[in-house]
Amino acid sequence: MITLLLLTELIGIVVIPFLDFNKNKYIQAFLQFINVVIFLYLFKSLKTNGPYYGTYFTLDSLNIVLIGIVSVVGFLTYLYSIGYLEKEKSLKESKLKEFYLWINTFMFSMLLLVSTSNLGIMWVSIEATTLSTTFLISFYKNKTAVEASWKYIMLCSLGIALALFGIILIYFGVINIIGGGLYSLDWQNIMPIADKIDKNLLKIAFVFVLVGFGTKMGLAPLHFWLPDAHSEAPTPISALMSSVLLSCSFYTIIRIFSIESKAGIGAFTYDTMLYIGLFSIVLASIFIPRSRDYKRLLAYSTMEHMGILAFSLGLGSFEGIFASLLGLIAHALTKALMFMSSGSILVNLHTKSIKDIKGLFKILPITATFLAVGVFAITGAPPFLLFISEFLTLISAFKEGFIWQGIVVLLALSLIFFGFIESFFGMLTREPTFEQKKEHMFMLIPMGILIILIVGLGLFIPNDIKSLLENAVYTIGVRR
Amino acid sequence: MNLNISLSEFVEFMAALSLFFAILQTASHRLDFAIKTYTAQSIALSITMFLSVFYYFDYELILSAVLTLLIKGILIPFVMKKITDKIVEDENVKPFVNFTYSVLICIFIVIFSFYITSNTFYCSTDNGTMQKVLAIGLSIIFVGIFLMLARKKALIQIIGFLTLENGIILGATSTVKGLPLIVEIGVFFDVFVGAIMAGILIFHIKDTLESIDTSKLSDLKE
Repeated sequence: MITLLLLTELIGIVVIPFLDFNKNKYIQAFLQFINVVIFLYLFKSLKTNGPYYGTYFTLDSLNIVLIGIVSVVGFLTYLYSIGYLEKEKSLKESKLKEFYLWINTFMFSMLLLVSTSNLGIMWVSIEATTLSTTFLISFYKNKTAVEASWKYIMLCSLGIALALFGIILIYFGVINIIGGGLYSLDWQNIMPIADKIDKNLLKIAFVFVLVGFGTKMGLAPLHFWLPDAHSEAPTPISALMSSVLLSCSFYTIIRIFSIESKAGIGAFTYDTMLYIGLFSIVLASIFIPRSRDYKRLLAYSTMEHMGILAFSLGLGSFEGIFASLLGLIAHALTKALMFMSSGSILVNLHTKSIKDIKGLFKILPITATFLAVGVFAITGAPPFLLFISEFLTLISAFKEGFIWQGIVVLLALSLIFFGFIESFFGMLTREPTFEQKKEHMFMLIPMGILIILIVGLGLFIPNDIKSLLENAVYTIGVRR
Repeated sequence: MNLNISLSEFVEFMAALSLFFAILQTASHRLDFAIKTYTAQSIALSITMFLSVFYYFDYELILSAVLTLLIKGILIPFVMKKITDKIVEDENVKPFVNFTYSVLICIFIVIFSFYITSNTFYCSTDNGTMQKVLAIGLSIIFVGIFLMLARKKALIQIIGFLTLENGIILGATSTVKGLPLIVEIGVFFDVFVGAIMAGILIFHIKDTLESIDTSKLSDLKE
């Protein structure tokens, strides 16, 4: 069943040359919808049959969360792209085909990344995500886009190459115990023998992996590509990168992290995650109020949320890790909403500058309402889903004795809140600087669905999801 | 002196040769010279892998060695050559760190790599060959990173990345006798595609900037 997910993406790639754009965009969105259905089926089968461990693919309570994020946000982005690409009238047919080619490759490699159980294949697919997004970032071929794309491919390839070295070191440790071969790179086989691997080796390996995948995840001080890439890419891609790709990178870190935690060098890895997360939050809180470009502002907000995820994972308590996983889902949904609404503004008004835009409630009424909801949701106001995860993070930080760290996070979060309110409410209210524009149906529907999801889940988390996340926390392992 | 020891010395020698080419890379200014040096380095790496087959008796390494020779020794240099033929090089791009200091820094990198591997990876059975080759691999990795940071020409940065990747493969050969075949092919594929894509991006940079000086890519900041 998991292979079907990958198959639909492959079909998506194969049909591109044979269809013209008008048919293609609907078929692509439909294929993604099939993936959402497959995800729901997998979710149900996980509940009734328990986890599945195969030779290449695996399904457990941790990666089903990621499969869900990839397929649901992916589907909504494809829906959104229909409207977005229709609004971008200057693009040629071949350019649109190129867009779908890369975005499908991107989705394929992300699904492969989250469904494989092999660290080696995981590495190959995360490098494939870098390659497939490079040309999407330089899609508009202007000077800034090329610059962002160059920074992205160089920094991320460098980082990921270092992560490969980290994986090789883990493999070296495993080989001495169960021998070489593809199966010794499989974390299902590594987990039971994790405590026998040389501890020093694992520590060095973790540093390499964290630097590597941390670059891809946008953790400070390795985040330099992130604001550039997010602001220059076409907005559907920014949404996918910010909410899905970075979550996938976090997932790879979690997998290695759980091996380290099982091996009993917890304190070192947990503390590293905690402080690197804290640093990212603080740095983002400095940049957010200073941003003059709303897409860059959202990119820094992504960095902040990645910091919060790392921070709460580093707390290591049950609530902390639970909050981290819940935050993963919450951030993916909310940030997709934010990027989609800001993308509608960009495609209608053709400016990214915060100062130039005023009176959005009159220019794009529905989009502006969605954006206003999104601003409250992303800054962690109740009753949205992110509120629960951030609240849990802070509670758990104080409970575990990380008092000053908790206070710093709280201060940074309030700074970010004011930064957001100041920038976005300036854009939303006052006298309009543009005349009213027509909003596209396909751009509004996905945003509406996302709002229903974040409000609905914020008010009531179903027991199925709760027990799923609890199981996932035990897979990762709490601090001892 | 029996055959086994001389073989191990030869493995060490070839590994050291690829480190030598990596350091020579930092002294290269012209693009075609950089590509030639990279080719030589890849061939040295491939020979190291091929000799390791007889040292470790792991025959999967033969395939890796052949793949290295084909992709890194022939295909990538060929593509890079095609790219440099089309762009006119501007000679007056000064690097961030000049060539003399670069070589000095490389010396420290090598000493540092040998130092950090001296305690962790000691294996008494093989006369320390594995450890030495790993240290050399690590040095190549750091030299590659240094090249990416200290050079302004876009193409040399790509070569820095490829050098770094060669170092990783050398490290993998020495410690784990090469990665499992599927993973190794995946890695080769990714690196190859990555190099080509970065090459195409150089065209775009050249189009928009009329230069391949990456320090001019500085529009995006707060």
